[in-house]
Amino acid sequence: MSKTVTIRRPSPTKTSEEPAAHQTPIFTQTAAEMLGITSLNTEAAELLEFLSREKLKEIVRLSAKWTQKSARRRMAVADVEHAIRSTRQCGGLNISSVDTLNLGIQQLQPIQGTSTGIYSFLKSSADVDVDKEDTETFIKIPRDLRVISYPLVNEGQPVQSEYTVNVDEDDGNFFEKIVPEVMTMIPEKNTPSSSTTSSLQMFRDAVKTAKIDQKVGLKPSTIEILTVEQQIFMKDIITVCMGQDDKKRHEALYTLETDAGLQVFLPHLTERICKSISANISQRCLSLIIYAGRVLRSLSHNKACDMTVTLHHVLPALLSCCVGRNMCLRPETDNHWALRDFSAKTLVGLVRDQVDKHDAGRTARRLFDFSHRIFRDTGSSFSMIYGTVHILQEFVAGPKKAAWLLTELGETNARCKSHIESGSRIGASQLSIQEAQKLNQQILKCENSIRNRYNLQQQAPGVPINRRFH
Amino acid sequence: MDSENSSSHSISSPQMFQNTHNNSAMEDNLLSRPMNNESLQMIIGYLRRNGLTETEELLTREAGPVLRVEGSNGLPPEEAISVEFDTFVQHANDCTDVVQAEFSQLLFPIFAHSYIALIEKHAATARIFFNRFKIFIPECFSEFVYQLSLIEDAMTLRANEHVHILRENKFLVRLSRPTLKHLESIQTRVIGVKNIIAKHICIENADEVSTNRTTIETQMGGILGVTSKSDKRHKMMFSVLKDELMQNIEKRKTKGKDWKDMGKKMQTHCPQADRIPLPPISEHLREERRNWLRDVGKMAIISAESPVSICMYTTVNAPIGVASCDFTDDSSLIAMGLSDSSIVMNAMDPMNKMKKLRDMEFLDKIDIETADNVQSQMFDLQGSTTSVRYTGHGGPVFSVNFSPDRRLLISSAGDRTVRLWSMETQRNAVIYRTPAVVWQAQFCSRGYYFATASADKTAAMWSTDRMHPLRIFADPYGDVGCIDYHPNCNYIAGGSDDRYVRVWDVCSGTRVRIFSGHKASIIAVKFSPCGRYIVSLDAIGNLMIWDLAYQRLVAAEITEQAGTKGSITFSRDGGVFAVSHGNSSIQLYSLDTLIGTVLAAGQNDSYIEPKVNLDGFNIGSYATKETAVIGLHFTRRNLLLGFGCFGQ
Repeated sequence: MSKTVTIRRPSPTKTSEEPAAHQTPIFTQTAAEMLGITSLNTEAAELLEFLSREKLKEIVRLSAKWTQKSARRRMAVADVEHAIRSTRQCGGLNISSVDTLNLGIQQLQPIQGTSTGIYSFLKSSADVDVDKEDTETFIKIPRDLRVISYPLVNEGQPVQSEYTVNVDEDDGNFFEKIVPEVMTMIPEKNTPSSSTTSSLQMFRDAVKTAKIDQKVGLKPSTIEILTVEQQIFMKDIITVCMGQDDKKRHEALYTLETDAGLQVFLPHLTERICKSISANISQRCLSLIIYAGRVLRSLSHNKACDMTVTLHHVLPALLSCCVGRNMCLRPETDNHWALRDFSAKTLVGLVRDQVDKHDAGRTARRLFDFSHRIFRDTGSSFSMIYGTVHILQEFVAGPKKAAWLLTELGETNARCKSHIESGSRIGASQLSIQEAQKLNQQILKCENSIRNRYNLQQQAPGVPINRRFH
Repeated sequence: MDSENSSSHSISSPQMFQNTHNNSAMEDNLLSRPMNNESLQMIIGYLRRNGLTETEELLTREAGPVLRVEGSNGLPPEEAISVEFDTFVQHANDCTDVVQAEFSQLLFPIFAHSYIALIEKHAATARIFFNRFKIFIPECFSEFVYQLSLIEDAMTLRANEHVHILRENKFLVRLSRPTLKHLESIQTRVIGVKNIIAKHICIENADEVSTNRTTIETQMGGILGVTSKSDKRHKMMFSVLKDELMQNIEKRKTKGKDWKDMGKKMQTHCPQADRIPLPPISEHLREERRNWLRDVGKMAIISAESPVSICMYTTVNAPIGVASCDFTDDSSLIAMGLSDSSIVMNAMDPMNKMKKLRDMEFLDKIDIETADNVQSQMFDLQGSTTSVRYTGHGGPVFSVNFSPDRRLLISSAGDRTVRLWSMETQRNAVIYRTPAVVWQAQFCSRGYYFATASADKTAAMWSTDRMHPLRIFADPYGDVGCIDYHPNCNYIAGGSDDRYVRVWDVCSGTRVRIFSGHKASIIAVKFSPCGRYIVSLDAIGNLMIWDLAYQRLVAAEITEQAGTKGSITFSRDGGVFAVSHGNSSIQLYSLDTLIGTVLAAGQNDSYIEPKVNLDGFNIGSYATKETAVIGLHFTRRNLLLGFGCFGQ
């Protein structure tokens, strides 16, 4: 007898290897039911499903080819799109993620003289003379392609490049990752088995054996990066605000006061402005300090800006403007008094409008204390004291404190008067006499204002009628 | 390579296992029974393993009636083929190493044609056949096997392009004499397989007996098998006439060494200067050559001892990515073809900006007779920039290439156009509309002519003054994905998705060389500057060097790097070339070392074994951080420039 080996008919379990050709066309049926069509014949559905699967395979294959030829590793939407278009199977869906029709858009130029913004590829003749400001409109700036070059290998040795990529990509994948140092493992301690030691003793032992110089991984803080458009806007607005052109500056300040979308780069903007204030104080460049102060003023007026997030920058800057010892090159003639007044008012307005609501007047009290310290300091010049007066006046809390403040003011005023009188005798500088006079006036004004507010008579306590602070 | 080896080593069928199972049960009463088919098979197998061919034949003849039962007689035809194929696989498995390797060439075509035949008769059986035997097919054919697996019934069979190619052409297999003998002996038993071999497979007699398994395996992989000997009957003029510049470069390179006689020999293969009409060498080109000549003295000669320096250029903020790039010969400009359809030109030297020709009206006003500085008046010097963007294409720009005189740029894109751009007016000059996407377009070294590789399975040769191609080379079976112009302008090489590298003569239009051995779509081809060798790269990381003189494989470098878009560039002296597979690394190989090794092995012109992963051939491999390298270029002083797009 002879054995012949024949191939057996496939058992049902083996059919799993077969492609899904004869499975129930679930997808097609679901799609049909979504349209409300239930009368689909199974054979028809099978055919449909088969055809669509074939099409899908073909498109995926073609897309992969396009991806490869575009030298990319990951398939992008554009590849699928091109593949579909190349098979001419778009159907009714007019898909397009890359706007090839508008590619040359950077070369479009506005035709001058048309304020509505008509664009043309042709260069317009410059016959019509229209103000540039009237024709300029906001164009979205595309990100510029940039080529970075760096040595990769030098004489066969790979170069450790400092090139770190910090690309502003939407998904944020491309930021250089800063990995914290590997955390050291804390070795497990063998707790002493003897129960004779007290718990306090055990704790002390534990402290002794614990590793003290253990490394803790900290997540580095990252600054949120602005988009290119925002960066350009910020650069422009700072340039104009600190620039010479009065008309433009007013416009820019008005923008800062009214623009509702400034919150995003408020931290960046205020940081720069406040830095410029400190820099210009050291340079004694009064006009630039004033310009910067105006920016802060405008921002503090903007209803859509929450300045509380940047107080750590703004408050020191404004206080410096108030009580700076010398902020201009010619203290005799330059009007630094106005800056002090202006800054003090900005500060008071800012704290009242935005801060007090949140911290129950704590910031105001701290500012009062700070000002008072300067005010009492014997080393302070008259002009520095001048700057504190308005803050003291506004932030004084309660009639009792007001009465006490009035006496303080009175003392200082007396000091001023004596300086003015004696100044001409003992030969004090003309400047200091001027300053004392200015301070004198300011204190008088302030005293009146406090008295009116708390309805105080000279040295006599009264009932507060207009309490604003608690 | 390893996996491939193991797959073909372990040729063993389910039936074999069954045999061994039955062995123990059978051994007890083996002697008391008459010889059955199985025991006879075992004996024959034993004889065959020990090379006792005559005894084997004798036994086969005598035991014919018993053995015959196993054949196709008692079975329906669709099952008979399975049995026969199984027998064939077993037979191949029993052979010695080299013969087995030669037999493995036959497995795929027999498998494919059996499957196709079965599908038409009975799809379900075909599916079983397919799943049972697909593991025996050598790995290099796995992509084709996958293509076949897409066939589900007779209807999809008709639409399958791959089947058409297999049916309409004969699969070519080269077997040595001992293997042929084996084949003849087995064919008597497997009639179905014999028919398939007769109908669809062309067997060529190998002149020499291969001693090495890898030699055979490196040549496998083509969609229609290996290449025929008759393909090399065309004489090829592969040398390049050496002008003063090339001689200087050679002198610098071979300082103190005696290589002169070799140079002389090469000159004899030069084509006649007027073999094809070429434009006169322009003053511009002469100037370029003179500039280059000045740099020759400072040129670094790269070798394993004096390694290369690489400067890398990385693009950021490219909207979808950069699909292609090209450097000018003097490394002053770089062109990038972007996936968002625009082309960006960057000047590498910020002091040397791109000048733009003034408008027509202005040019008319210049009085050529009297003006003394016509050149400077023609160009808008104020308006010159370091970066220019060309827009016009409507799809990803798959290739860009500068003309040698830097006055034109050719680009091909996904909108099925090839465009010529004028570098001086910075505008699109000509649009060539093509029926299918052109994957690559490349100028020849004298300008005027350019070649294109297209998705409609053709390569073509064009000239800049005609709107239609001068030559169309239509013999590939798959997309031509990459192309290169021979340095002497007489030949074009194209690498195709059907895994062959072909070389065409632009004068006669014939295919003069064809090379098989790649195991995936070819993603880059490049002629060596001396004109004798071609380097090609495929999508799964195989690098192969071919000798045009004898149509043979010189060396193969098998790596595991899956590639997207390859680039190959030779150093200015031609001794070293740099390769990237479109991923984040650059490799350097020394062609000089390779040629030296081949020459040292003996000047036997007729036959050499291809070198696989030769020691000292790869002289460096350098990785980038995150940039996929898609372009490479050697400056005239042999500094390597790499180009890529970040995170692509």
